[in-house]
Amino acid sequence: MFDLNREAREIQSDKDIAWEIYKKSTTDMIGLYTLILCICVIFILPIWVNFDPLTQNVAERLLPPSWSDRGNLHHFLGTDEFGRDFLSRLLIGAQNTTKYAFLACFSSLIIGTSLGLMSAMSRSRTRKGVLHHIFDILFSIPSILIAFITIGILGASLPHAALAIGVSLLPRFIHESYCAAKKELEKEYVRAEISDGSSRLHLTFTTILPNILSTIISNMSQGISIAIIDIAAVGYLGFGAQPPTPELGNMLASGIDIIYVSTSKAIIPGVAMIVLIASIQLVGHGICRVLNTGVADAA
Amino acid sequence: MRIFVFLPLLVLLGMSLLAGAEASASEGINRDSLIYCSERNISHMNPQRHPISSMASSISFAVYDRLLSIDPQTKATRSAVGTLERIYHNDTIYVFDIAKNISFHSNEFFTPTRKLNAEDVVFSFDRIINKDNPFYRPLEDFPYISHMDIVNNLISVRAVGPYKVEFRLKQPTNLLQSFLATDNSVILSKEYADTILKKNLPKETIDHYAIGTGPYTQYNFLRGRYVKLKRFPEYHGHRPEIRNLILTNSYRANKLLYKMFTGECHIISNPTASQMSFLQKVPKDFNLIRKNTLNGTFIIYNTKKPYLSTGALRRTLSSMFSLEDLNRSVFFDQGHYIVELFDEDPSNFLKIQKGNASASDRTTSEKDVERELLREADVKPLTYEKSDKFVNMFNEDIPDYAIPKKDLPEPGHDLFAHELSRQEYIEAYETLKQQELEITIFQSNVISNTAHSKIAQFLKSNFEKKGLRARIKTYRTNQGQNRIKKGLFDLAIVNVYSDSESLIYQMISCRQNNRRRSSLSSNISYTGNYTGWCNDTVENMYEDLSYLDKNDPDAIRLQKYIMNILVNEMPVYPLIYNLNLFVAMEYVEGLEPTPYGGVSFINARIKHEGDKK
Amino acid sequence: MIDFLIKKLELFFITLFILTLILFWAHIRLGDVEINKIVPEYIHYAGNLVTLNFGNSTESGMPIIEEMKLFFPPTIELLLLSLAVSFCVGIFLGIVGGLNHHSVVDKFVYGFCLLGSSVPVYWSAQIFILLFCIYIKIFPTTGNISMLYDVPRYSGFLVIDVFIQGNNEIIIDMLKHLALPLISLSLVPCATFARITRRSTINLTQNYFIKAAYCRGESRFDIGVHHVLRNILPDIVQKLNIIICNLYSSCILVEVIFDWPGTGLWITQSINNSDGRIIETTTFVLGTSFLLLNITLDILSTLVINRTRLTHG
Repeated sequence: MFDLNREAREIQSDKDIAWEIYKKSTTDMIGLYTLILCICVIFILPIWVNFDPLTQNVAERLLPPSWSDRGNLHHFLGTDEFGRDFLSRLLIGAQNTTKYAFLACFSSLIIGTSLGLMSAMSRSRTRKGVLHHIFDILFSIPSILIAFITIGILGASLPHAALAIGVSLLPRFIHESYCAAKKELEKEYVRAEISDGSSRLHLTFTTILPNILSTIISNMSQGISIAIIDIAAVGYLGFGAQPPTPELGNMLASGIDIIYVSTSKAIIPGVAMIVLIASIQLVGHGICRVLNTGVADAA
Repeated sequence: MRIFVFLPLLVLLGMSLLAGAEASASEGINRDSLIYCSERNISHMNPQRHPISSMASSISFAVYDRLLSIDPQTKATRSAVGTLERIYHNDTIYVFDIAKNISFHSNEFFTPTRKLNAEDVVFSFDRIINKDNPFYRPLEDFPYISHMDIVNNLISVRAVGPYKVEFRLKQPTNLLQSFLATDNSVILSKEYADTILKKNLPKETIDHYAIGTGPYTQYNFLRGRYVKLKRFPEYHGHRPEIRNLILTNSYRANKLLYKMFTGECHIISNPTASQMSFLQKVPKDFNLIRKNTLNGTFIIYNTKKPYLSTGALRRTLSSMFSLEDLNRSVFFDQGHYIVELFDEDPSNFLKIQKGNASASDRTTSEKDVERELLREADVKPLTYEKSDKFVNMFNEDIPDYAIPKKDLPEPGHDLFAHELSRQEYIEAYETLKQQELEITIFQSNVISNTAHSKIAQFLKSNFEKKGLRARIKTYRTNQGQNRIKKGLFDLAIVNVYSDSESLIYQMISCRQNNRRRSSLSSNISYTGNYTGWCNDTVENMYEDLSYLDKNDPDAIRLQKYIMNILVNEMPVYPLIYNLNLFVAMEYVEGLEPTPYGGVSFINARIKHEGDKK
Repeated sequence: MIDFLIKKLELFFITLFILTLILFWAHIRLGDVEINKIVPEYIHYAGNLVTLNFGNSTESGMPIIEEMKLFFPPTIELLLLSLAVSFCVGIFLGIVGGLNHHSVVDKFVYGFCLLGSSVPVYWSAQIFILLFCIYIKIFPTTGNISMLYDVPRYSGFLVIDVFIQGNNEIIIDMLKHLALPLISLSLVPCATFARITRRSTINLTQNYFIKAAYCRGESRFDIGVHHVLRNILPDIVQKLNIIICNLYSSCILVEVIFDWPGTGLWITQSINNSDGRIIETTTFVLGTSFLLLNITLDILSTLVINRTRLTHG
């Protein structure tokens, strides 16, 4: 008779298959849950709960986190030296950093990938060379230095820091997408399509792009982690978000300044950053694995 | 297989590292060497090119000599290399005798062939004032001369004998000697200068590779990081016990304390407030040495802005936050109130009326209270005229140097500061509420400036709690100076480093500082009057004060007058000062603070446990 | 082969030209240049840069070349040592993890890769300082050697000079100062190397020839060295470029935190002092060296890939 199970399995949609493959690795699942938790807490929770990172209350300054002796449940993670609630500062700070990091990385990704693809697909050698290497200058100058120079010209603020970091991420995306597109172009099915007569634009969007998607996504997760760390680094040096705006980098810096008096303020932002970035990397790794296995299975 | 090779090597390496483990903390106890860590950058080896700072003073006492020195007890000038011989012509010509038999250092491209004589003294000051001197630099490259316009006044310096130097001035002044006694006014070597010119080295070599006459000679200098000094065998004075002296600095201020704990520094200068509050809880091992200078923070108001143009407005703004809270949150309760130096009570300094009593009742009873308190028969409110020589600080220089005297209120006439009534307070508050205020702070890599950023955050938050709008603007040192000079600020937070007497004076003085800025320089102190307010009466009071002794009843009275005028007008609001101090390890003794905030190592020695025997 | 090299050299010169243009623009903004004499000024400026005639610093007036000779060697030392350490340790961990896929060791290596690449270097450096210098007093906090010692300059590189001098105390002191910056700097590239190696090893072990080697009875160690290492090298060399650039970025931060007397501190101080000449000169030197590095690694990677392709047929 009919094997209903097999038929049921055969009509599984792509999404279900992808989810199955993703679920196989527990670490990736942990990463996914952590990331969803982080995003909810950082972006969605502040809409409902009124977090207040700026109100100073000198009477309650330098409270330790609530789980220690002198802690107060009203300020869950304690207060900084001005009496501002540390939990609010952490969440709003993480929000600021992540927002701008995402913006920088995403715009850089789009510009970089299009340039890389254009250079891989173009037939003339000069255009290929120019597009590919045009931003190599930025490659050779370390990202911190680019940030210094941009901020020296434009002035210190978070959007400028994000701009500088986005600019420094550009060459990496160009290179990676160029290499991946190059590799795809040498495969036989692409050659078959070309001889079939498809135009380059059509080729890019229907064949090449979906197949280098896994590289792009793994690059993007890498890129976001690097963007977050770099924006926080620029903030740590004092060139990013200006106080009193909270941001992971300048909270780290001010925490280290008062580390004799209160150690938790220096450690907590660091731990928060580690958790955030680790979860982003795990999710990126998981998606990569899904796309790779999917491709292998299909092939 | 290879594991068996690598693993033992790693273990050996680890053991050898840990073997020296405990040594690290006690490493520095080497009888011959001392490491001094400062928070300030060492950019040049010539203190003339530094502003007044602890590093400049320490270098000056270690490597150079000065013409005159300051007695630590009486604060009067006394002779060092030079001795005052005579003053002629009503204080306009000074002649000094130079001591004999003082040798110079030598280095890799210079060996001295003669000892110190008048030529060297002449050269050291001639390069500051004389444009034809090949080592001349524009005035802002000598930032310590900022608040003394002595340089404009000096016509010439010349040698009138092999060991006699004459200073000629335009106008009579009694400030020349204190200028010559400043730690930064050192004596350079003319022969060295000539050698530099002859060998065609860059002229800045004279500021980079130091040749002086002090107890230590330079033998290694890494700009911005450290300088290593060695004892000079032919020093003319008391031979120091410490053979090697290393002056160094840290990029980040919080490192200083770490270095004390690991023994990499024996003496640190000016720890931050949080570090100080920590040090007080840690017992025993440290000695605190007070310097003679203070670090005062002020808010200066731009009196040209319409919403800050009257005293009432400025006082209302100053009352929007509490000084106690500021001290607690930014300075960890380690700071002191500047107004206490002048015998005022910080909680009542602004004298703003509290409560709802009507205006007229208050005034009469107020007079009664004053009368009773002062027990004077005749109490008059102070009348001081607004000067018609009001100087607009933002546009032009004052052409004159001296300001003609005006009459001062006589003794017996006392004064009180006008207490701000509730009505005036509310009016001022309404005016202020309509404007978004801009708080300006400057960034450089001096320790005090993270404090400025915190003060700005504190102010902003307090203003917003009371319903005013504010925003914070940060500028790098150069840009900031420009903006302040052009009057493009509302209120600014500045830092003044000086001794207690001249702390407020520099901020409200009418005397112009001749600072024209070149394109790129840094570490300029902010002394100078940028408020757009000045007053002849106050000016004359300060000048009279400079001739009086501090405990003279006239001096106390003048000080009170000045304070009351300040409270009425409030062009600057004095906040907190920190005592500058050194923290030294307990086994270092014999350190002496210099008059301008440095430390002198001549009598320093390291005590060992073995010494107790 | 030859036109490949020529192409690369062309690229190098073009990028160098663009770099000088950018720096000249920065020079105009920072200093005063007459507008009608731009082209001869530019030629003069670019000529000076290329012939290494850097002029004097705006802040101190002393020649920049002297300072460069003092500040570059410590950075190069730190970079090379950290690269070597992270390369060896990372590849070792990656191979071990990859060959033992699905075991505890692999999970441990994976966890290390993850944590290592998510930790910001300036934070971990500060925590290390707190832990190892203040609480457990093993290492000193700043500098590359204690101020009390004087090491004569034979080569400019402290590591070499100290060994030439031969005094045991000084050698141990230098190693102690070196330990913390090295560890904090190597953490991230080590994790990156381990990740790449592990991924490539896992991919490689799917291949039949590895399984055949197992069946033949070769020990895991031999497989690791003989088979795996050679085949994953191309992947690693490809990424080496990015790793070294990121390493230098972290190096600047680490130098600032540990007061290591290298270019990082020098550049940051010059920016604080607005010393235009130094900033331009260092950007030029750094840019050129990284460009050269870029090109060398490009050539190297093509050679390595070609050779492996040849051996695999």
